[in-house]
Amino acid sequence: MASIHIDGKTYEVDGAGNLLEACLSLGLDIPYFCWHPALGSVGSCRQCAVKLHKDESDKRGMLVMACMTDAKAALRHGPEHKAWISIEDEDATAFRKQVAEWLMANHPHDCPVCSEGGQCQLQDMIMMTGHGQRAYRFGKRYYTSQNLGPFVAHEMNRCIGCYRCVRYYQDYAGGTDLGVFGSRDRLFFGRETDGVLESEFAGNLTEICPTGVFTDKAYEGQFTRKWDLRYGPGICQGCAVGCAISAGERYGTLRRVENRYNSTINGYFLCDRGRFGTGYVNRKDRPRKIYAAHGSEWHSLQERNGSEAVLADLSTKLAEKIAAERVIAIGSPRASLENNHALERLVGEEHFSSGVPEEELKRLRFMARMLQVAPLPSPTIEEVEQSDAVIIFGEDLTQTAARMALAVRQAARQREVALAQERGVAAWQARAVSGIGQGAKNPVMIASPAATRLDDVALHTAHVSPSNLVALAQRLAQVLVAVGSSKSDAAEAVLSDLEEDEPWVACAVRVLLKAERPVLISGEAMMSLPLLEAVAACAAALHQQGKQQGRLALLPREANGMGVAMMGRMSLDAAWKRVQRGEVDALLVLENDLTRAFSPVQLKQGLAQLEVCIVADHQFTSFAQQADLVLPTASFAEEDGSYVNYEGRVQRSYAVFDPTAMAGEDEIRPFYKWAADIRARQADMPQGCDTACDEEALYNELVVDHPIFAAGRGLSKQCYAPVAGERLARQSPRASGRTAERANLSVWDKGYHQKSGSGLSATMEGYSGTEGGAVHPFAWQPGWNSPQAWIAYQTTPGGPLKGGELGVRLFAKRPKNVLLCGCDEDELLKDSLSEGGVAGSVDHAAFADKDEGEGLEVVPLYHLFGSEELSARSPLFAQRCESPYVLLNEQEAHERFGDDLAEGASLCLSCGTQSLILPCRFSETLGRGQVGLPVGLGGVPRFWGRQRVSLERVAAPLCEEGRP
Amino acid sequence: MKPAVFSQRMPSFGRVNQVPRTAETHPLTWRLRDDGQTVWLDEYRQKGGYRVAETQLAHKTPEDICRCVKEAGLKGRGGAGFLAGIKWSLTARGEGIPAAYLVCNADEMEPNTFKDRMLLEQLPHLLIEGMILAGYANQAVRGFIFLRGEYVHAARVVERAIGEAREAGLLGAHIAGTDYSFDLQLHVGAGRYICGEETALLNALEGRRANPRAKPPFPGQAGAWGRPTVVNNVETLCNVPVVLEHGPEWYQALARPESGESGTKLMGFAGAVRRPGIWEVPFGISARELFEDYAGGMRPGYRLKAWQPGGASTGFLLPEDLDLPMSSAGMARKGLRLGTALALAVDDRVSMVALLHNIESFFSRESCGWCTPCREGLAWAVKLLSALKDGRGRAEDIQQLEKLVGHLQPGMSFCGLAPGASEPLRSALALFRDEFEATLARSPPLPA
Repeated sequence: MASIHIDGKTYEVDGAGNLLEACLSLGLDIPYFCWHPALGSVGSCRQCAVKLHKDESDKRGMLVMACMTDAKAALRHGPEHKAWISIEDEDATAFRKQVAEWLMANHPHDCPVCSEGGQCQLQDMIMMTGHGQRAYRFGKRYYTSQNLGPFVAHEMNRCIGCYRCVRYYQDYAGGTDLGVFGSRDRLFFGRETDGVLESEFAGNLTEICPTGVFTDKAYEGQFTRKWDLRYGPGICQGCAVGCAISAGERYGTLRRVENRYNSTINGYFLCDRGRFGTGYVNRKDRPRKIYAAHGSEWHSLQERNGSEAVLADLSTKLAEKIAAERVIAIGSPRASLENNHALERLVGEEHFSSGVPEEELKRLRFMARMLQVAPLPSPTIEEVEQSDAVIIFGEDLTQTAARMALAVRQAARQREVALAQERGVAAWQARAVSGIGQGAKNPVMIASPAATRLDDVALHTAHVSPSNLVALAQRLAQVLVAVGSSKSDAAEAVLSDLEEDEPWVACAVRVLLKAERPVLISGEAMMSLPLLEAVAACAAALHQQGKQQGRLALLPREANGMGVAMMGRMSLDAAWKRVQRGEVDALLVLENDLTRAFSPVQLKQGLAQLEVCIVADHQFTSFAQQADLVLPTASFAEEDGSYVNYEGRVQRSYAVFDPTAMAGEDEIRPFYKWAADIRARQADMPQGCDTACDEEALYNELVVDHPIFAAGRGLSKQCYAPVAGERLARQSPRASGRTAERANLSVWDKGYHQKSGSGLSATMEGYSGTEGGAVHPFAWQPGWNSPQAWIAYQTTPGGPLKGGELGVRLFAKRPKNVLLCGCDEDELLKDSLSEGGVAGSVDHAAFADKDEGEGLEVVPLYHLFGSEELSARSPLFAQRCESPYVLLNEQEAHERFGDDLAEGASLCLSCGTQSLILPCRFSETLGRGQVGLPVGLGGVPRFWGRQRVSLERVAAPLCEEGRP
Repeated sequence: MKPAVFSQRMPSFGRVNQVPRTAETHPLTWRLRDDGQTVWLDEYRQKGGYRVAETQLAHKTPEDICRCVKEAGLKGRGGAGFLAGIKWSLTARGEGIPAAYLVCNADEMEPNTFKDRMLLEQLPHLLIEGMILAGYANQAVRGFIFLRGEYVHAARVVERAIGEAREAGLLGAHIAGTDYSFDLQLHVGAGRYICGEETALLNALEGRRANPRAKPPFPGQAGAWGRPTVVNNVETLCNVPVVLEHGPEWYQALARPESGESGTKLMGFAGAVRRPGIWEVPFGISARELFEDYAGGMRPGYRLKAWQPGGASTGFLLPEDLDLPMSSAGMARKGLRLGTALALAVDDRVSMVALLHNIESFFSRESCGWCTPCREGLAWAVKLLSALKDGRGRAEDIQQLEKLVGHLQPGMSFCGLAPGASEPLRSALALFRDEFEATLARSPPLPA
């Protein structure tokens, strides 16, 4: 530690980074714009000026930009270095005020109608500088702003020219369609012409921009000031990464999603699915009361006295069916652990299914198993960012786990930082780093069936069919082992031999052997267990090579896929077989759209055997529409729940609001509450008596049945106020009008629903400081209304939260003795992890495009916008979703269907009795013998993935659904 | 493409060709032709050209050359006046560090400055020889000439001269039979004043936006494409063969004694003088010599009101300051920079407010827009000057201008453009405040 002397006080600092970072982490306020913890310093805004004095005799000092000054320059060490700095110095203060005045010269006074107002860094910083009286008396410049698509609004007249948007969009996120045009005081930050921003991470512009140039259009449509929002610290439901979000509500509608900073996972950034894909929460057509279709004795009850009676009757009848073992309950990989467990308890483990199809469940269990026994642990997103080589198998990461794709870009960019550091230039010197780095990249290698959105940073891409992808990964593992066990000359000989025939493998081996922290990434995208096994074998081979710092990331598809796989129990297929066989009278389905898993025929066969089909969901999915009874459940925004992400990290997502508070007649409740009620009725107990109602107790019950989740106990300790008797406030201290919130409904101040056990308050009353645990509902500190307030919660700017990591990694210690319930021990791994790491040898012929079986191989394709079912139900988000199509190798398409086949022409895919009619698209990268099919998109069922199909040309689509 | 026509072009800077010149007193310009046409390779060689490069490359080490240039006290002729030899010795070398680039800053865009243009158009081989020597001294693998876009004729000349030199084995692999290989590339800029700032020049050269870079790292550590890069002005590089031919003592003696300078300097006087032009003169001569002996004083009917020593970004001086020596030290006595030493005479018919409006409009227009003070501060100053000039000024405008100037000082803005731009404004406000105030009398009264 060294000391630094600021305005007469001495502080202990570590001397790393620049002066601005040092001051901010000491809690000293210095205004700034162009600097950002994730983007480093460029010194363009000149707002963070301070005085630097060389020693005590240097009374005059020198005005420096804190962000461009190495903190070491201001350190005091030994008698020679007696530097001191002054933030309060008269010249520095006057200059900062002047810069503020310059920035405000052209900034419009439209704060009242600006959706940044109240959370605007410009407002905060201008206040900080003390600028108030404006002397500028001339006209303001005027721009015509652009339409940048449905997510991001553009108001260029508010621009203060800090350049953060382009530095984020181009340098950080790899976007190419947003830039800076013009010069002098006629800068323009935008696109060349109006149009949808191409980047999947464009939404972060709304938080990167210090003012209201880029704002959240989803929020604008239902705008309210930040201080009127009630925040809930949530976990994104969009994919298996599990980014932390702050979701804000007012008057019973979810208004916006903001990034919730944490250093290990999402840092400062979310993908656009996470940010804009939650509109389904506000859908008017959500099930809000118990909904019963007519025509069955189960529902005649509704005509008696509403839901009470329905529930009572449901409980009794369900109890009979459970006693008679004529019930099946189907859980969901998009529902929380607690809800799945509540369902499991309700019907008994014998009758509970995880809701995941057989094959997918096998893969998920393999991934879960790998978290425990794989030689290399799973990386956090932060570790991916810090890695020095990345190899991706089969995933179009930007579409399937977007936040990780953004991390891979940073991994590639780390090469520039390394080169700069070799030349004595610190990482925060952003432009010097790119000047020295000249775009040098750490190696990223991708093997996938077709082009991916990360190809632009890839050193080497191989486009191979899914089955050949397996062979490629196996081959890589094999060569790694072979090369590792031989002497360097021999190894070099092997590699140069490979160079010609298998350049990708040769390159990957070289890359991996050279890397210190390589990351292997694969996952559910290719729907292939052999692929996962082969990638695990590569990890084993890496471990053998002494690459203990290597990491293996295997990505499930859904937010809680890993969680339900760890719960074990039967697969969806097994459950449905029992239904189809007529072994079941009552079916209970939790938040699972079975039309995506089964064909209409299969569904019909099953449903016909049932007495009743009960769906508990917060959406009227295609399946819910076929149910006899629908229980309205809570979405993530309305319930607490725990989710397990791809790295086995249990994280708790907290409710944002109580859906019944503003609409008294709604019956929306978390499923675990419905389950508790039904159980209570069955046992003839008062409601909720046997079931814990706070989230920790619910989790503890889960652990009793599933000890694998034991490490996640005590998660609620991450969410507490460090003041006795207080809870964490969920509204900023500026919130007003709590007692008037429901005044239109009732003049009684019922107080906002307050759960007994939670560490969260429902209102602005409570603790809103920066201490406590890792969970903070929102970022706000006095004087810091914008997301820049996160700095106050961090140990160092851009570093870990003071409260530690979010969530708990279940297998951080990787114990050997915990077994997955229902997982067939090591059977899945026997081959891939046996001695030597690789099973058998690989036939070289595997690399030739083989024509095995009839027809074409379906390659599942993914879209960030549309492949995930919930986000696709968000009206605004749906504007970015494409309609389903079929992708063909361009040459092959013309050979098969003639040269006149144009993109958009209809093709019919058939497999057995199933068929789909879709418009075609051409690809230059997809190999022959394959058809790309975007599963999930527009409801294309997932069972189509990895089928072999035949393809015919048809005149026109027979119906819009794509089903003849 | 039509072959370039070089013959019979009227020389643009006739004065320098019209004074008697000798190799001893005019080492930069003695080879110029009286008719102002380009001195091509044959003529240049006849006049002893490239002999220095050939002997130095064959017999001297790079360190020898650096030492000699350092001892000679050759200062950068681009305006900042940093010692070239020091700059060269600070260029990063060593294991793991890529080989250097040499960049000639020929983006001469300072208003009223055209000395580099004369050298480029009439003596391109002197520059090439200088670049070979500078390249060798810094062990550079490649040189770039970043030329101002508007210098269309110079571009043709330099292109042809590079071709001639390459053909003669003076550029390319194994220059003049030595181990040293070096080639030159001409890059024509797109015409921005900021490209004359060496780091913005490097960004422009790389194809990036012409925004300056932060220092450190200095170009000598990490410049063009991340390599150590030496950036020197045209005139500086043209002095290198002179220094090496005659040695440090001889070179130092060319300047006026006690001027603190070495060698000769291209200086000039423009404005309503009798004989505007540029001349090669001993560094450190008095401004009066330049103004009266060379430029012939003011034209009849004009009176000298003020003058700028070296370009639009230098401060104003009064007629009584003409006895100051044209040197860095001389100008420092008045707190000014010498700049490019191409002076401008402001006559009594010129309104200082209008002149400043003109100057600041130029600088504001040429601001790259990277940093706030330059981007917003200069634009505001122009609006104030425009108001004053047009009789729309208010009393507080003058204080506002002074406040702006106070916040456009070195270290406050990102690069030197804004401090340079504010320099004439600062001095004009100090020296001719009455003219600014006089505009207010014409201003309509403020609405109550």
